[in-house]
Amino acid sequence: MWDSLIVNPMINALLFFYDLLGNNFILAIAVFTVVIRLITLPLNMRQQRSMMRTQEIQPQIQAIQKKYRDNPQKMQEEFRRIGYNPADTLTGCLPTLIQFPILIGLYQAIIIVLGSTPQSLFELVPRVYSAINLTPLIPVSNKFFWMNLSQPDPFFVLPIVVFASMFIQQKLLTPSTKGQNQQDNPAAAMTQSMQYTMPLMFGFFSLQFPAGLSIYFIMANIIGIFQGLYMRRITDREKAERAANGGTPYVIDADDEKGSKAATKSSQSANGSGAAKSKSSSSSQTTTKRKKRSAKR
Amino acid sequence: MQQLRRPLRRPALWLLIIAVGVMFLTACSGRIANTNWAGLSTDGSLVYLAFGPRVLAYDPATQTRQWIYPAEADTVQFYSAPSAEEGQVVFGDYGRAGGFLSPRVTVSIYALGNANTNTPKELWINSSAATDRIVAPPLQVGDQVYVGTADNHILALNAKDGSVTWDYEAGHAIWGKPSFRDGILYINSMDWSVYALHADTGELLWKTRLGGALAGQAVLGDDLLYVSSFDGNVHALEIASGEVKWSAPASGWVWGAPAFADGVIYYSDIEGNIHAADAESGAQRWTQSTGNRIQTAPVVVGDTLYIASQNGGATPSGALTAYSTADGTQKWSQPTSAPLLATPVVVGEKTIVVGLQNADALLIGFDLATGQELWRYSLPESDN
Repeated sequence: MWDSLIVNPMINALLFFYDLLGNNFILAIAVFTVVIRLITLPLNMRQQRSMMRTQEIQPQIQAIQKKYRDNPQKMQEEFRRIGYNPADTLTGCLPTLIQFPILIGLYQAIIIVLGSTPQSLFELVPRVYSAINLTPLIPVSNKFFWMNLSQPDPFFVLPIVVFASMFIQQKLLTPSTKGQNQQDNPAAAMTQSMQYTMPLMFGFFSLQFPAGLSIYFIMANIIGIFQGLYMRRITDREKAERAANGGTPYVIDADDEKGSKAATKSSQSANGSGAAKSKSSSSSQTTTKRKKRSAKR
Repeated sequence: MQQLRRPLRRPALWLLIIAVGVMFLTACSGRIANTNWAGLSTDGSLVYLAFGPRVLAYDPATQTRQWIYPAEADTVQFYSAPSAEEGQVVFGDYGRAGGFLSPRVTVSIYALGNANTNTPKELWINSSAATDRIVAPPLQVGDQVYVGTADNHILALNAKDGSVTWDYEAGHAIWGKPSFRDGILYINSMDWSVYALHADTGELLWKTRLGGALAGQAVLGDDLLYVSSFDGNVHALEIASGEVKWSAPASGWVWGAPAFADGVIYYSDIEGNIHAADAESGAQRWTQSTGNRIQTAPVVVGDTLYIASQNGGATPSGALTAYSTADGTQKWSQPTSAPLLATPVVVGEKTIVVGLQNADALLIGFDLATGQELWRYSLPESDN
């Protein structure tokens, strides 16, 4: 099941690209990576957008949590009102969940396609679809500069590039939490720490796994960097539009001073005192709008 | 508490995913796919088996194990069929990982004293000549050892101390054992080429490129060199020039080396067919289908051809089958509980031995004439 659904299609895709691209396995991996990223692009974009948005409204989320800690129903209502759905956290992880079967499948596919042992080559034959003529493709070229693609890079170059490219990608994908009190916002603290742990972990993988897989990591990271730059532009534009339309998406009701104080304190810590001022000036407008909406209902 | 639960859900989920990913990535296939089928060889009396973590010598006459190496199994794997000549056994390994944080792999070539001691003496170990797996069985000729490596090199080592005499780089990995006659080495490479090298200097005498990868050993006939190829043919080359004289077709990749006997060439393809062709002209004599996949070489003794095969069903198994060399009719067949992927060897007058890699048996001896099982050897519990 695993082989016929994941590994064998990957093996055949890699061989197809290898044949198409003049028997260059690096190019085959690169094009394969682009195809995989294109397939998962809608999910990735959604995840990133959701992550950036959640991070942006984190102070409001915390304020609501503080205020309605004893009233989960109301808390959900307020979450809905600011456009935050906790369930999105789970769906947002879907692209990551999809990445792991791809990684594991690709690891196995690279090992089998490179046919670096007689047994792996012997096992390759029945996996190849009849549309692909395997004979002229064997042996798959496993050399790339100083590297043997079926072994880890002995000079640490690929692990370092994997670490650096993933770090840049993480940096671009993670919204800035500058100014946020990390004690108040453990999620932000965790996200910050992920900026280092993820690249370190994948750098470590590259020390252990075939260089071909590291090439996949690097290609995926480079695409991720461009994707991150694009997402930043979009979110910056959206932020600017929201600011132009007037104010924050959520303020605490004036009748609850305690909650209001918490929200204000939280907003201040997130945005600095200047931001807090602009928020308080816009808060009355938003409250008025809400009251009007309630009256209509 | 509830206040922390929701913001933490996402990072916690991330960590969970990563942990599962690490577990899968590290557990599913190990560090490098360092597995292969067992390497089996003989010097005519003893049988040698490189079966993964260890190499052993077995005496079928007394049905006793002569030695096993290393004494304690390590992370390093051995699959190249050992070469035993003049009191020493030479073989290579698949490489040793450099450590937790080091990607460097060290590949070694070993020479052991071939005495009847439980733990053989290490005569020399060369850990610098090769950088990738030793798949090919080495060849010992006089004071030289010739080893093909998966990093595309053909190495000539001094048999006394393991130092490198010369080194020739081919276009791709060498998986087949070199052949030798009159001071010349004939080597097949996965780069589709046959190389003829001067055995003393490594100088290239000729090189012939064929239509597919060459995984097996080149076999010397009277005047021709026979080469099995993934292009679905056995090619006959002029020994002196490397010029292709004829090509005999098969039904798929021809992996194992052909067998030459009494003016006939016998060869098998991975689709499970056995073929016999005239050694001079390449004219087909007969073809027989076995129904199994074959990547081993045929073994011919007298008027019988023996072939080891694998049945790739839901429960992989194998078979050793005997055919008449005259017309390919089956004489007997013995099923085995594990696939037979190593070419069998003949020891003494009446025994053919197969090598396996399972707990039931590592070696099984069959009667050449009847196919009756004579003995089997499995690793004692204490050595597991």
